[in-house]
Amino acid sequence: MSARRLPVYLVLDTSGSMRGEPIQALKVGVQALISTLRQDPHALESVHLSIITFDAKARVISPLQSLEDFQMPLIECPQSGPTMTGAALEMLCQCVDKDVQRTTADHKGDWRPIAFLMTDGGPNDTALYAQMIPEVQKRPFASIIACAAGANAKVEPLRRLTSNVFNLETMDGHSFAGLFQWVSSTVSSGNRSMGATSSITLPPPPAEIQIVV
Amino acid sequence: MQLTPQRPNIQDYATFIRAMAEALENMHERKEAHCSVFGMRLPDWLDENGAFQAAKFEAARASVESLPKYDDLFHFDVRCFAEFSIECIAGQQTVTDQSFAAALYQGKEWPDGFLQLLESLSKQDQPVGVTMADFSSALKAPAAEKETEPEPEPIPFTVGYSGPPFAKPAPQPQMPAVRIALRNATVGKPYRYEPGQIASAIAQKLGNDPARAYISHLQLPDDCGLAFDKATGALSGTPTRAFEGELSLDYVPTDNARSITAKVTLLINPDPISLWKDLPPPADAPYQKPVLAHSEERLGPYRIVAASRRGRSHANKSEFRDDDYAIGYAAESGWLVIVVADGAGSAIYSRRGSQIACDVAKSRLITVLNSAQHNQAEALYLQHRDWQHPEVKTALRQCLYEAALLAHHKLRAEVAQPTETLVPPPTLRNYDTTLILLVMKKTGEGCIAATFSIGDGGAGILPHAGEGIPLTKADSGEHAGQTIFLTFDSTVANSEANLESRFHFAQTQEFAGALAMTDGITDPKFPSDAAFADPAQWAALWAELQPSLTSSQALLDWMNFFSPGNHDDRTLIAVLPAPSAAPDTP
Repeated sequence: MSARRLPVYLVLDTSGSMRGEPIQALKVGVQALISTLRQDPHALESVHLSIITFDAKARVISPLQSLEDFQMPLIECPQSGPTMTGAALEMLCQCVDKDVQRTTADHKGDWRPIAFLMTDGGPNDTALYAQMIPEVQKRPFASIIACAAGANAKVEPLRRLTSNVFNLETMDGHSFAGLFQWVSSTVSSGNRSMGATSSITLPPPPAEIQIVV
Repeated sequence: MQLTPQRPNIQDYATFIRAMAEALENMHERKEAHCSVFGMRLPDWLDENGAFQAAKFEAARASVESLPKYDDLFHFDVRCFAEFSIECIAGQQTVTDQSFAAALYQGKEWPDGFLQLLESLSKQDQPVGVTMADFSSALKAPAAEKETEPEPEPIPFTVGYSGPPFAKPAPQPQMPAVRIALRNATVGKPYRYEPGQIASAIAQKLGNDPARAYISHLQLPDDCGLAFDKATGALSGTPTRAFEGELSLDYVPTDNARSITAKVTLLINPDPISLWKDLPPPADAPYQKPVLAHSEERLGPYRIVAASRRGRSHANKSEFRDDDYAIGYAAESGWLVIVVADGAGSAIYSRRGSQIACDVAKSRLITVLNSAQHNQAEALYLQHRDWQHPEVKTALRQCLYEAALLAHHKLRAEVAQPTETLVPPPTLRNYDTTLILLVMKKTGEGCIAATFSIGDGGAGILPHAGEGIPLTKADSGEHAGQTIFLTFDSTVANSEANLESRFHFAQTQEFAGALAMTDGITDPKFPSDAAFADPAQWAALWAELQPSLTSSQALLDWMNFFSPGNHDDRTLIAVLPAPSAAPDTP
């Protein structure tokens, strides 16, 4: 019998403005997140990870797979281009509908998924973005965490998506390391019994992250 | 999308390329990095037959040029163009862009140079720069025929996976850089690549003959439990330690050829069992509770073996055991009372919630069942002489419900006036807990049993060792970890629908045993609702338990079983017929 899965979606902005140090720092951060989770026995048995990137279009660069089998994909950045955050949310909804197992007579359901969205800009496909917000909220997420990274990140659209919005002042390796360390503790606390409707309580964020209230 | 029945017209394509080149040039002069019509991706330029629509492109371009100059409005996604072609040739077509890719690939009348260019792009593992001029000239140069007219001015813009902006075309590397990632391994799990499997996978990727390629050397971490057999090319073993890093490999494409040294990444996961820590809960926290509890006793005609142990997930984080249980016997009337409760992992004082729920419900049930005045079920039974009489069952249900309701109110009282100093003041949801009440009474050779349950976990009775009757229906949501608790008003609502859904009753002619347990046991032992309803699964669990029911310590030891993903607190109470009062002869 296989364990119930905790699906974790990383939705990462790879638009042109991420090129250079930010994308490198992001990659290192994601890699560190995976390594940290592998040291958590509960995560190692239950976490299934998927990575969606978005720039001019959204792509599932890593379909949902167990932490045990997960291999770090190439995360790349075009030279320039728009930030199709709405398309990314659309892709996220499609993935959740396809991936996440609900309870049936013969199967116990997965844990409710966690999504983590990181962007350094604002959505260019504003109409689609607005349209996807209620769609995302219809999905059974235990938690949606949005991170506005860097000075140009637009906070307001993220706040319409989730109440868990965090601001990362700089996009260097140190900041991303702190951020993903925190994401891993969030993921680790994601699989436990809770009420049918409540969300998970997030652990306190690290000092580098500014909470947007 | 349907694949094209007609191949795209080369003239259309040339128009497209020219338009693209013009647009690029214009954009570049304006020092704009973005140079495509926003929102219109390449597949949008194709008609339903997959043919390129030059007119549409021209019209869109004209309209874009009349727009104000906003960064966001333009984006000429040349990258998409290169990518679609590459994905097609590499056989990794994306669904949405399939028709465009197919259109390109099936266009066999494309000049050879163009196909070669795409093909060489598809093999690049490294960022590569290709200019528009490369595309144009490749298109214009069919088989060996040199173009006489002057080459158009090269447009300094690169296409490719991640070439630097506005760079000169990068020189094509002599040997494609090869990166190899081996499948992840896990300590303690057998791992294997068949003979020649790795070499042929690389050969296929590089276009070599898989039958002749081989690996002359594969570096492995020291003492990792894996071994590479050079003679056959098999990699196998059972990893003994975790590892994450880069190794090297020597690949020989064909006999006598020079070997290529490539980097190999390998990850060996640790064995999850080895990662669990056993940390004591904080000694200064309120509501202390031991991490283990067990007891065995004889009550009337029953022998009861009970154990409760903190789950690995809690031990790993220095958290308390949230489960609890209580056992009592109403000696006057012969009713056995069993209560188990599972405090919610997400509620900070749930260890106290489960304890209050168990103690309060047990005491209440014993008091009522022992009282000739208050035990309505017993009184009605004497009247009807039938335990299955609706009035008797309703009285039993009411008795159980009132015990749950009292427990609910005791939780509210604890919130109002906590028995320990709590900062900040608690809320009711801090005490979230499930509750399973089971009462039993021996009747002849068999017994009657009734339950009232809120949340998950479960209870059941076995008339004989080969069959179990489930006596609860778990409140489980669509997803794991979703249940409901005694703290919710809805679970203790005095409505017929609520009470009927929480109450179960059984009367049996025989009695082999009964079980009440929290989800730490039901989740691993009954992997689905269908399994929980299956009498045979109960029999299997009963059989598995037998050797461990000799003592509560043995039961506690059994409870430490390992089941991936199931590390919650575990509580189980087994009720057995007491051994017949055999004369105590030494």
